[in-house]
Amino acid sequence: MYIYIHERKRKTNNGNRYIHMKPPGIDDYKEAAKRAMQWHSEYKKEMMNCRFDTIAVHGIYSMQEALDYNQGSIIEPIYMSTSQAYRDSDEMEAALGYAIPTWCYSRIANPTVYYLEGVLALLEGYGTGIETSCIATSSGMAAIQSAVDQFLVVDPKRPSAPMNFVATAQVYGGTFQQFSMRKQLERNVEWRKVLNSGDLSEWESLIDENTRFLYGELPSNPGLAFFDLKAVADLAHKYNIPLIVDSTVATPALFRPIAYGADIVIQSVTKSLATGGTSIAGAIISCKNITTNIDNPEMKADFATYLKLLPNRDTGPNISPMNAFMALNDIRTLRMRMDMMSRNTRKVAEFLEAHKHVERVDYPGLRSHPFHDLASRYMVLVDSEYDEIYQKKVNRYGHLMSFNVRGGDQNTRNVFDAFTRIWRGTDLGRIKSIATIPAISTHSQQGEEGRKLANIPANLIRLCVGAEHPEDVIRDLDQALAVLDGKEVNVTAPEYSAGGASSSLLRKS
Amino acid sequence: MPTKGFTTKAMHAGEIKFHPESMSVPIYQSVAYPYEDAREAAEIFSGDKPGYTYGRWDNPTVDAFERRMADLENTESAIAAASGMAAIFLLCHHLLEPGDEVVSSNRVYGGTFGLFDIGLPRMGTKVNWVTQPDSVDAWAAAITPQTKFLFVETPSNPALFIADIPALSTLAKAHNLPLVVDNTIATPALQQPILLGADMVIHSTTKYICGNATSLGGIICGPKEIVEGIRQNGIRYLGPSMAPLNAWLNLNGLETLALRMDRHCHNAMVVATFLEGHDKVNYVNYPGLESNPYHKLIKPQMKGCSSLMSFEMKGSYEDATKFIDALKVFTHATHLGTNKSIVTHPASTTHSVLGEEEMRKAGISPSLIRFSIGIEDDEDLIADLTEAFDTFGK
Repeated sequence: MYIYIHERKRKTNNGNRYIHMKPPGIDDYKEAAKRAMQWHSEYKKEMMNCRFDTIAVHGIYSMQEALDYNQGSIIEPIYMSTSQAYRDSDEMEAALGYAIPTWCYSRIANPTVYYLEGVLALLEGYGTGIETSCIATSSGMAAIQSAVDQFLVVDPKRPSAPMNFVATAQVYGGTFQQFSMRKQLERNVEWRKVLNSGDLSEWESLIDENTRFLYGELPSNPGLAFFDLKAVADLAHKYNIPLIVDSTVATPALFRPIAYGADIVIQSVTKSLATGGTSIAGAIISCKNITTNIDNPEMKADFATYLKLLPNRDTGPNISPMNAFMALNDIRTLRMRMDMMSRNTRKVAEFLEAHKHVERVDYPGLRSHPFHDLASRYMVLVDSEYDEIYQKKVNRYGHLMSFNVRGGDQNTRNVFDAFTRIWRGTDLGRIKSIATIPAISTHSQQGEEGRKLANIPANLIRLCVGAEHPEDVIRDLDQALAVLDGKEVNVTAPEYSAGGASSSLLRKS
Repeated sequence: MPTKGFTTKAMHAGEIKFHPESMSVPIYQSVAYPYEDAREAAEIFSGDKPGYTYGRWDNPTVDAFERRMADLENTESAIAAASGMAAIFLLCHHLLEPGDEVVSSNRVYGGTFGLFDIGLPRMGTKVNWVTQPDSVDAWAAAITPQTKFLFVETPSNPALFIADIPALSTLAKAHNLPLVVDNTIATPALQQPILLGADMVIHSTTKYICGNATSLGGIICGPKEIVEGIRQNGIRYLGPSMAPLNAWLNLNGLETLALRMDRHCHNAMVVATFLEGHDKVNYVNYPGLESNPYHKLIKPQMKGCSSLMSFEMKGSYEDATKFIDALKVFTHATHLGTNKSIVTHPASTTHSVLGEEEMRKAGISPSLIRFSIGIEDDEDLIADLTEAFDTFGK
């Protein structure tokens, strides 16, 4: 939507100053916009006919767009600019009235961000023929906040009517806190928790006339819980409410919720989509005409665009163009990365499952996992049937897993502290293997009771396996687990890095 | 150690020792930060040990910007956000629960107006507008037992209303309420609301602080308890965080803020004086002019009047657009507070949805023009204006 006017009526005059020969006038701008929209919508349709990798690599940034507007740059430029200038007051008036495509102000829209939104919308809608739209946000949490808040509006006709929403208890710690503290405690919006997400009757028993939406994380972080998406989507629609799915762990390379009836998809783009770990970013992708009991025709018709043009311009959780650009670059290799990292993770999970110091491994790719069959119905490497290596649909289960160390929390900490290759950090989705103990970090704020609900014991290590060779990751795990057999860990550190940086140890003297 | 001057602080305040050391604050374009061991992870997460955990709510580059802003605004702490609107939203979200109210001057930026007017009722909270913000009694009358804070934008965009901050502070203290000042137009280089009795300061750093119109940003400066509350309970779960590159660009902007604001004020005064003396101008609204009703409030509060102004041309809507289209140095855009001079025509753009009647009520006539004066050579600005006026005949 945010593209440029194709027609220009300009001519050089007096050296290097450019002026209009004749001001185009507001109707001319609108006409040009109409032609441009037509062109871009046809181009988008063309892209929808391409395979997943082609879309991931090119998105909606065409050669024509590069040549006409971006100096031929083969890579999307970073528009590190707050705002757009206009040719004259007619163009400005048309733009600010949203009568022509415009990016006006980077809190609302920005060309680099637009390219990111375009590719994410296409990837989430891939293979469905369903038209999708997307809004990128400053973080995944900002995406959740702005998506759910639109359904938690006070009804002016019944200002004191209670509100609730039904969501799985097994969600990321940040989401858990947003729902329990920010919504339930501070705003009196009841969070009805689904404890066993595989049980459809439990979902249904929690819905009443004050329920605004259903929400689920699929698969969940860190527990890798799953639910029958199609059945839950049908249930939501039966009660005239939307289903919102956080699909961060899967990414569109493995699973696209809109294909099964989800109305709105949340992505923490920070994670596997932008695997490089450089930027915090989020996105909301929605299909047209979502199901909702809120009386707001604009919102219903095109949720993500509505959010972009209206509510989010007031609350301002916009993404920086630089962060959008870095995400765009990483997305190009999404499918191959998710394939490779999923395969690595299965090898690591199999190793851990057989290890004497490991009590339990949660990875839906393992046959022993309770959600293995359900996950296998949904998590398929996109386009694997067209891949000459596979030539059939193959299951891939992502690169997030968790495992429980035998012997309690101190043993768990000892193993964790002995990692040398695997990074200790509260992150996932990285191209580097990274691990955390959720009970003392990402999920510490929700307390013992909250962790019990979300099934996060103190001896749980969350591990997100990267693109290293899996044998090296396994070697690191093996030596770390050997700590429990009495192996001594000897840590030495030099005072200077090879690159010249000095150690903080030197400063202590 | 003696207190350092503003310009020195704008370049050095809040710097952390980075390894390796470098002249400029490094851009930590990283999402996560590894831990030495499990104990350190737990200590940092629980807040017992300083350190960085995850980029949504803390990042070393953003931290440096926050510390510097806190120092410049004389507050204990500061927290940056993705935009100025995100900063205001986070503050409202943190301080207001359903049933609570904010009392605000109605002379606020359109985005703030929209958030208060439409956004707050959707959250079960509301705004009580003060439609006569010159009168402290009008503010007092708007306060109810549900009021949680007072909000004022001064100078305001685009009306250029100027609040008597000490008087509002006295009122706020009498009711035990925090006074929040949106200091975007003045910046701390020209006005330091905390020293005038305000409790918290908000900015869209997108404007003068960044200065070159490269990056969006917002910040909340205030007491540690509130700011850290917003970090731990607000931004961490709602997520409108500032990107490290944007923080870095804003830090760079701060280094020249005092110099630029001097120049903005100088150029604005030159342009306002020129316009006031021009026979094609009905009136000029710029608080730096002695004719301005707010002029007397300037001296005790502000070192200068910044560079936002509006004026009414003699003539019609079409004359105004013809004048704007004839300008060559001025950029035609809906932005303000940047190095380049910007012109906006409210009647055809920012306020075009209002009817003629509504526009008149809001003080916007068909030939009203808004300027954000930049730091170009003042002669070039005057020459550009002269040439544009001359298209109507000398």
